Amino acid sequence: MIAAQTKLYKTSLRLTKTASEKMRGFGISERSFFMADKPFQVFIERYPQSADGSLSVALFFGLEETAKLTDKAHGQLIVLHCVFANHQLLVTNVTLRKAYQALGTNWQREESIVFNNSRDPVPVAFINMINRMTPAKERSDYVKKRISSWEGYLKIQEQGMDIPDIKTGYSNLAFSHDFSRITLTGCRMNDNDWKSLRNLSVRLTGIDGDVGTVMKTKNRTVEIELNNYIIKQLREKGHALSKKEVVFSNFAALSQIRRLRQGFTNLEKGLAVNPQLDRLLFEEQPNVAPLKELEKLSFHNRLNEFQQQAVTGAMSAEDLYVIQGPPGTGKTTVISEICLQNAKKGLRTLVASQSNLAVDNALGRLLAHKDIRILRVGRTESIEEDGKKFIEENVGQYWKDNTLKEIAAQYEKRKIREAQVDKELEATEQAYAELQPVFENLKKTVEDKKAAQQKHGELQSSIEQQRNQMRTAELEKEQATRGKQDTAEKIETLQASIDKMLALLDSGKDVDWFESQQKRIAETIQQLERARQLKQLEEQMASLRRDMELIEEKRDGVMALATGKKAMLDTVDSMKKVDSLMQVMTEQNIQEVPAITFSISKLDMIRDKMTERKKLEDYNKSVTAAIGYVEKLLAPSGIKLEEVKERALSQGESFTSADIDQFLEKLRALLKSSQQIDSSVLAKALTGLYKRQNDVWRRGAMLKSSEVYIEESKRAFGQLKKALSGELEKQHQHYLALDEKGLEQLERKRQDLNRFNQQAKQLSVAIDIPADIEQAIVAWRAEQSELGQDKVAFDQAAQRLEQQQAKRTEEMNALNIIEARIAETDSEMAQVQERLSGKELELESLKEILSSNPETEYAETAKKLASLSFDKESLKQEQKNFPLLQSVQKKWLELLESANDHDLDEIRKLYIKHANVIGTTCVASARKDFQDNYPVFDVVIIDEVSKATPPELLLPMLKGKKVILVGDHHQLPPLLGNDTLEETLEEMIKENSGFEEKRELEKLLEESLFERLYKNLPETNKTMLAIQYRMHEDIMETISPFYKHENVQLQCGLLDSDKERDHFLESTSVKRSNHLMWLDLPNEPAYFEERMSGGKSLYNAAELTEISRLLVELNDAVGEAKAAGRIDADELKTVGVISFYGEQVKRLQRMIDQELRLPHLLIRTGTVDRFQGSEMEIILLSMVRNNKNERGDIGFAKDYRRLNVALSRAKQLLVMIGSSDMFTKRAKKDETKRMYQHVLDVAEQKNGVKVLQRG
Amino acid sequence: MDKLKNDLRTSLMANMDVSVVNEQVWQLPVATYGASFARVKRLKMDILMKMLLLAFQEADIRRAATLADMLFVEELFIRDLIDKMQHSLLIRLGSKGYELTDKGYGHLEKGIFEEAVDGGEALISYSAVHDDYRLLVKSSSELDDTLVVYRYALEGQADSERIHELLSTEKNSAEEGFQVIVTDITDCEQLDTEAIPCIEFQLYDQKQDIFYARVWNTRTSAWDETLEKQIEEREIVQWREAMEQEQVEA
Repeated sequence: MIAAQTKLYKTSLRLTKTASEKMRGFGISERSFFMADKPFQVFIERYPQSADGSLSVALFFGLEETAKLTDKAHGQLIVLHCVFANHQLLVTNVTLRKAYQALGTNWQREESIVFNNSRDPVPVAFINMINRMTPAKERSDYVKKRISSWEGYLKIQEQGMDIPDIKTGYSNLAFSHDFSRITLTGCRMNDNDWKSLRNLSVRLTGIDGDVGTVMKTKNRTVEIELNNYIIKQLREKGHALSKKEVVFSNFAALSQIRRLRQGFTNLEKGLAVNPQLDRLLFEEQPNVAPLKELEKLSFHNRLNEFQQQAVTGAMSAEDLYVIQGPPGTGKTTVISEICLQNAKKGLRTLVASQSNLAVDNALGRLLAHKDIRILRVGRTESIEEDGKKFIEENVGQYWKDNTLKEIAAQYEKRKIREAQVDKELEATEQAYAELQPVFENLKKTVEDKKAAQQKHGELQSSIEQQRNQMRTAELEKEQATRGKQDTAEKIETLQASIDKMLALLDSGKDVDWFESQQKRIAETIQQLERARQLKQLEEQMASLRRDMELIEEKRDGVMALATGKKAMLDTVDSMKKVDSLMQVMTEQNIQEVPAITFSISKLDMIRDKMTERKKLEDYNKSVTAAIGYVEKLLAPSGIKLEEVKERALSQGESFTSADIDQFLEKLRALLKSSQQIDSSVLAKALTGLYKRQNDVWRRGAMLKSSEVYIEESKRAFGQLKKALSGELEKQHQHYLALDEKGLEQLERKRQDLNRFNQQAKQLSVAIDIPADIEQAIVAWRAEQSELGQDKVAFDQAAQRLEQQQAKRTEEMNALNIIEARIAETDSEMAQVQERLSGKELELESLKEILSSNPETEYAETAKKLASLSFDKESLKQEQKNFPLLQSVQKKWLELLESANDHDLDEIRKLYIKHANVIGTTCVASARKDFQDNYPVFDVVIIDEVSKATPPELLLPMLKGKKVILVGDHHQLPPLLGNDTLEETLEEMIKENSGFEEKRELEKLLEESLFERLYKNLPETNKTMLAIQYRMHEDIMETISPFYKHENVQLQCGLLDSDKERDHFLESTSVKRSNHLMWLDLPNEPAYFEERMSGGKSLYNAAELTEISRLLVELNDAVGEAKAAGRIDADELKTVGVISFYGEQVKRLQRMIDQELRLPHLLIRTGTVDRFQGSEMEIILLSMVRNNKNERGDIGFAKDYRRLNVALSRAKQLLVMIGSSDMFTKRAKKDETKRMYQHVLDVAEQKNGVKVLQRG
Repeated sequence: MDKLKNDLRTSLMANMDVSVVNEQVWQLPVATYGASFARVKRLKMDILMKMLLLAFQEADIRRAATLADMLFVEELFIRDLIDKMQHSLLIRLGSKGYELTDKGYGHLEKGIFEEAVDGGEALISYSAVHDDYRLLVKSSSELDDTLVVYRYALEGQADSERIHELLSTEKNSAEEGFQVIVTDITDCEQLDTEAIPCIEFQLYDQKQDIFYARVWNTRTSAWDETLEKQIEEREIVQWREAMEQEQVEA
């Protein structure tokens, strides 16, 4: 019930006439709405949008507020039904409503409102606030729709529930041998009553309380399973009840269903403590709030990483957290830790579970800690041993026991501690005294070092300064030295130049000498150049002469060619044959000009026509001869040749030459082959001949006569010859022209030659001409320029000498100054060096003190001293407190020891008032008294979630701000009554009860709320506890595949399985090293399952025998282990003998009770389903199914969750008794086979398979 | 006795499948102790309050947490009680810590004061086999020579702690804010041994092939589960063997 107290709204309020009248009827004065001095606390609920889209709301006035308005409400609430119309809040109706559960639902808002009777419009903020609300009906419809999928559970349980109590007498009451059941005979009831008895609760007149529940009715007897708590009473009174009367009633079951239904209703109404609960439960992806940041928790239990993660996650989650806990993974430890963490934060936790046993188990294992105050709520008689100490009557005692134990322990410890403290204090004081001077020494050392450090710093900065000076001086000296060098070089150069000038001036040469020299050289050069020119001319003339000779030669050649052409012309003229002309063309290299080409083609064409004409004439001759011959042959036949001819010529056909040849050949052959030739054939041949003759003639007519062709041919030949002669003439003319050109060239050359000759004659040379004239000219020119330079130098020398000499003197002076400066710098440097050495020496002397490291030791000593001092003080304090503490605690112990119930009464009340961990069953959490005492919990933890149906889970969930679910969906789902969902379904199908929700039930089988939540929640809101501490790792291996699809793999938390899960037994079939065994029975009739006559459950006699033998063997082995000292003499080995089938369990129990004496074993039997949540050192699993049916049905054993539970109960040794062939080879489904094959493989690997030999 | 036996047999035979294989009557020895005890009468007073008053009297305590640590009691409880005591003016917060008011001193005195009242004597019967103590209402027969003693009877010495426990629950009483408490067992000696006749049926359920025992204990007037279990555990296998033997012989 979250109150959204935000701000104060002020609004006008108008009333309709109806509303006003209703109000008057309820005794409410309109004015009282506007007169009140305080605002009204109003719960607002939005209605769904009406058809016209207007906004409407209901305003609920709480009891107090209602009382302010009227005194006639009689505990009911006033509700104003309003619409917003014309910007005003208009009350359309007023009603009264029952107060119970009407206020503070999640679909309402609580607001403070002041009403006035003005006509002002309603404030926008107020309208907006309402607009933001979801209409209550929508939310409620949403829940109704989603929750309907859970109806199936209730419908199944409700079947035939609505029956009144049945009261009847009975004649006989018999107890079963172990007082677990009674059988009533002689009841008088009608048939309908008999049918409806099952599962009703039973009361017997004379016995207080419900006796038990009807198990079954058979042959008019009623079998009743007794409640545990009633047995004691029955042992006393049962045999002699004065009035034999029994009442069968459905009340308990009905009220349970009613509570479950109420849970649905409350969720619909929005009465969940967590307003988002409906969304969390039904949305595909539960929209959980982000985790809040927490400081790192400090844990009180020893937790592994997964457990820590689960606790941290559960503490940081805001609304929902889910913990998946495979067998033996320490779920309860996690729950315990969460409870404690909650307690430390002042939060109240509800620990709920489906069964009383599970609640008590969880509470029993919670840590005894003073911050945790556990209270077990529920019907005392159904609470188990572990939970008893937490019920209201006993919590005082429980508190006393714990406090007494703790105080006694503290008290005893302190006695020892007192002497210890004295000793410790003495030791501490001594240590302190010893350490004090050491500390002082160190302190001084540290101070010395500090001083040295300061000095060191100063020295270093001084040295650095000196070094800088030194570096400056060195730099200066370097520069000076370089200057000196430069100057010296300059002087040297100057000197050389001066020397050279002096030498020049003293050499004795003068101006005239230079002039004569110059002249001489110039003349020589001139002569040489003339000689060079002459030589060039002579070379040119020789070349000209050579050219002229060549030209002459060429002219001779051309002339010869021209003559040749001329001669050829004459020859051609006399030529008669084309071939001769063609040869001339090739020989004389004559190009085929168009005239020539034309004439040649013409000649070729004429030749072809003439050839064709000749050929036609030949054919004409042969054909005509043939015609004559054939006509003669035909003459006697009387065939009119004229007609034949006419017919033949009427069709103008054309024939190739080859055709004609062939035809004549054929005809010839025909005529030759036979004497007598049929006239028609001949006529046909004649026709052919006529046709051919006609064609030859036709073709001949197209040709000219031979004479014409010869004439044309002569003409063409004449033209060809003419063209050829023309070409030859052209060539002749060309050569003549060439000759003319040669003559001209020759003439030009001759003129050039004459000119050069003239020039040469004018050049004369006076000197000896050297072999290489060019070289000589170059040499002389060089001499000439050198002389020129010398002349210039000579001219300048005189005037520059003076200048240079002055410059030299200047440089000499500069040199002297530089030298003096260098000497100065040297002495300065020496001084600095001396100072530097002094400082460095000083620095060296500090090195030792500086390299020492007294600070760490000093700091450590200081710390040690401080801690000693602290120890001393706290020990002193402790010592001081001892007497007080001891005396107070002693008194307290006395008081506690002597405390009786009266003394503890106040404590008990306080304890209940401040109880912060409340344990109860899911269904009990909805009981009225519980609801009144504990309406809200900060945290609700639900254990064994997978064993509860969703309607059951909903009840505690409704109460929590935060919900933590703990379970394992790989173990078995909920039971309905005594049966699993599957069994219920199977029975329904068999009975064909026509239960229409059968489909629905099947759907429920598939969905588990826990599984869906676990799968769909984000990683942050779930954890799988992946380390198990129960089973030997060999046993664990069998169930690992069931968890392989989870994020993490199942691990074994035992450090050394062999050691920690040693069963200490050695027998013929069980070895110390065996932890997982399969006693393999043959798949043969002698070992087959059997069905109870008329019953539905199965048993297996062969397995019973084997188990009997094995139990005896185990019992002896324990005895032997005790004798050998491996097991304590008074210890009992716990053994669970379990089976998939109830009938087998019954027979096992009987066998153990009746036929075996096993003093060393503590045996429990049960179905696998009933064993969920328990553990035993040794488990024997009787698998029962063994047959050769076609279907390979293994019944309940095919559910992996059932197998998981069966395999995971044993700590030290698991023995499976059954036919491996049946389960690994004959089972119907492959996955079932694989599942059992894995178990068999592991058993084989661990050398645990023992094959039972037949017979 | 015979009527009882017949009645019981009849009730057992109500189950048609059951037959009585054997039946016998024997006696169970039960020791009778005479115990003297001392009693005091004192004000009903909640011990935590008393302890707080004592502590405040003895030491300077300002904070509830200090006491919580000392007494290993939830701070909440202590705060609750301090508030209550302050409210009823038993204590006040002084300069050094809480201190008792005059009223507080008076209250504490009354709480501590114990008035010796007359002690008493009681007869207690102790069954070693059951490890059970109870007040003897009326002494019944002594050991009967005609009846054999229970074959698994135990010799055991009664535990005076347990007797104190029993007497505390039985003899403590309360009235008008005062309670009378058994403080001590001043004397305890075994007076004699009572014989409790028991009727034993050894039964066989043919339908279920089950042997079992029923033992009627006349001291408790009920079927005695402890004795039945003792017998069944030791004998059932033998009964079966005997039966099988018989069948073989027959």
